[in-house]
Amino acid sequence: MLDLGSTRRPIVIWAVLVAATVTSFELVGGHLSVTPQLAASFVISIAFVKVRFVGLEFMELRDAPIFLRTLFEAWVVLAAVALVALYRFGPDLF
Amino acid sequence: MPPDELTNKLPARKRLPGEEGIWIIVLTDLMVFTLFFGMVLYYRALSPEIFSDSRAVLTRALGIANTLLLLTSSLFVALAIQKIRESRFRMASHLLACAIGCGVGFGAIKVTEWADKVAGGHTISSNDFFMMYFVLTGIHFLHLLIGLIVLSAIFAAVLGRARSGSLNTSDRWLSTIEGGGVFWHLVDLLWIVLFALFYLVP
Repeated sequence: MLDLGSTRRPIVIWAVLVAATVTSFELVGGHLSVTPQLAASFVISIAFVKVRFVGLEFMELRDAPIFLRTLFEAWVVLAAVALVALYRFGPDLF
Repeated sequence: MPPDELTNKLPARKRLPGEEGIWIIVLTDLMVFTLFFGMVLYYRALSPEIFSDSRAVLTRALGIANTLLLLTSSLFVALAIQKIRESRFRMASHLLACAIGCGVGFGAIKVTEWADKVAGGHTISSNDFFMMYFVLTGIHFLHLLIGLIVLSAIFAAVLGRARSGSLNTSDRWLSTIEGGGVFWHLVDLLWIVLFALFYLVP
């Protein structure tokens, strides 16, 4: 694993974020055969994977006190799950 | 010891970048925006067809361009903070200038995008999608402006150090700058979700 203090690490993180962005774009671009429902779930999930990277790496929560990091990670998971559920089940509920 | 060896060491114990206050701001903002994100999908649930028709009006290429601009700006800020910790202030100032440039680019694209949509007859009162779109990207834009002011202030402070040749930095000075960086990453983070919800989600 890259030394956490290295210059290369933010660049690698950035490349992963860009790749994730392109992947999301491809998913809804119709180039891959996924149903809109599945595409949406992936897009939202990928967005929160990106959010997690920004928080842990760029905001440096990876090194932060455990309490704050846990709070953030919990929020990432809960928000992602809630939004995917809202997307999937919303139309049936409202 | 060469600066790289000194400053590339991991902290011995967990530390919080920035002052505590910035994290109160960050966490509060995340909570508020999470509600906003939910509202977008709530309105979508009420009328999915209006949502998907309206989403098709948006120019996805611009959304992607904006996402890439903010991701890149965050990279520049992350690298700049590293350099500041190494007291390499001139390098940091260049990186910050690039970050600010990306941010300004984002703003320029956003404004022209809004103008284009309004010219096409899509306004805040057109439907729920566009209401949420203009309100949320508008609030995000305010965050962007604040972020740009913060980055500019950091740029000025760092450039001042570079010019005066002073290598001394207090923990407080560094902490304040880190806090500014964290706020900028928040601007990036919020957009990542907004981009997904408005431009991508079918």
